Amino acid sequence: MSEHEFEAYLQQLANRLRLSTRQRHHIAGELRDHLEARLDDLTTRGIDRDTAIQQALQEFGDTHTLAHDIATPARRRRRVRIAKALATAAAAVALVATVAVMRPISFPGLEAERAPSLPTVDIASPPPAAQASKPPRTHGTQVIVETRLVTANDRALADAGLNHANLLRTPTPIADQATTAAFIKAATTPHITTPRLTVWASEPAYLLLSTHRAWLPEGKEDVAEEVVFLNQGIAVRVLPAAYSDTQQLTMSFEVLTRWGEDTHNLPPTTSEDEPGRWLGGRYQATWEPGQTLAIELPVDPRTLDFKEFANAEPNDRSILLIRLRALDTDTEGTVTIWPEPA
Amino acid sequence: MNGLDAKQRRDLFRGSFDVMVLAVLADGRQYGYAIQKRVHQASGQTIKAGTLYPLLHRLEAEGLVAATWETGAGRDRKWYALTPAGQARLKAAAADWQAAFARMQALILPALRRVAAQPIPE
Repeated sequence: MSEHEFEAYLQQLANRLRLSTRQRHHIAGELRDHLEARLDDLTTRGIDRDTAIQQALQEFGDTHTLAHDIATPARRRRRVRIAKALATAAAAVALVATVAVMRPISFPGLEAERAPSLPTVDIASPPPAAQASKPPRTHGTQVIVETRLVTANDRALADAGLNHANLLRTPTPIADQATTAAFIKAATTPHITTPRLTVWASEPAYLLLSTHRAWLPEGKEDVAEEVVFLNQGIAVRVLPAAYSDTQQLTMSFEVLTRWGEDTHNLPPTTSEDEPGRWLGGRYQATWEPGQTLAIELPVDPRTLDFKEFANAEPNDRSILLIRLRALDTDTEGTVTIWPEPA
Repeated sequence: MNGLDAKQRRDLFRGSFDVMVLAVLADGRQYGYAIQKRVHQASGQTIKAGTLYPLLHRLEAEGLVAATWETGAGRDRKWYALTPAGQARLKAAAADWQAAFARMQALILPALRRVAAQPIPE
């Protein structure tokens, strides 16, 4: 008898586990560690090696029962994940478009030295809700905004989606009140639907919101203004689709945002790469047993200002990048992104 | 004269393996075999390996413990640590245990005093 018996046992167990290769590998690795430690202990106590191997294996029981017992939590976890993926309500980026937020509001440029540092946000104390920083504008340049929200687990894919030709069409200036009203109505109607998005601990989700700028032609060419119509209403809303009547569900997220004028000048990977150039915080959402309410993770309001500048070209854009990352393995889940109805 | 037999003693604890494991992890992160040994050392009860690992994986799936892998001395080892949810569960379970223990004492101790006052028949 030899330690090959351990491997034979583990192989037989792995074969019985109806789990992913990765999960089977991890389970076998963990049990191997236990078996070897147990063997060391037993032989140190003077038990002969063959007997010790046999005893160590007996303590685990037969592979059929163990495979069933050990895979049940993993399968349940996977079912919850799939249920979340299929649910219509998992999480949302709420885009609230109102007449009030149509006003152009200036905000400082994105120079590195002016970018506020990444705040340390108490996980239990999310930042306050966004506040309108300027009174409504009653005159001046009216603008057209086109937005598109792209989500992906891969930055390159998100960038590619955002650079789709549809986004490059020249905005149409609004010339009269009726058109303006129609536009406002359109802008306040939920129309940005994005694919479902999985947020993994190891795989952040990227949400890129593209905004085109335009301006009225009547002598206003020198006052190009950008408007983003989500002054106050952006948030990540998390609603567990699968919930338990008996267990508490906890999910932790990091929500970071960053402005840029092109996908190329947005930070490439993580907050650690460019400390101080992201805004956002970390939040933990916990649902008590049976609770099905949505929990809102606010996006830092400072990212929701406007940028005012001269000499803009019609197809210039601003892009809001939101990086949503699960913070631990307990946060595996799927989110759905959609605009909140006005 | 014997009290509880081995099976009865085991049954006393069987429903509390969860809280025993959480209690061990309250002292700091541990790996499976060390948890098993610590439980045995503290309670005299052995959680069989075939019971321990399904239990640990269930606690992990419930978010009560969090696991990390480390490699040391040529061996991959999975470490478990209490999560905030695990701490909350431990507190609640400890309160339940204490309440149950108090109720048992309230029943048993007066009975013990009564029978102690009487001679045991030959």
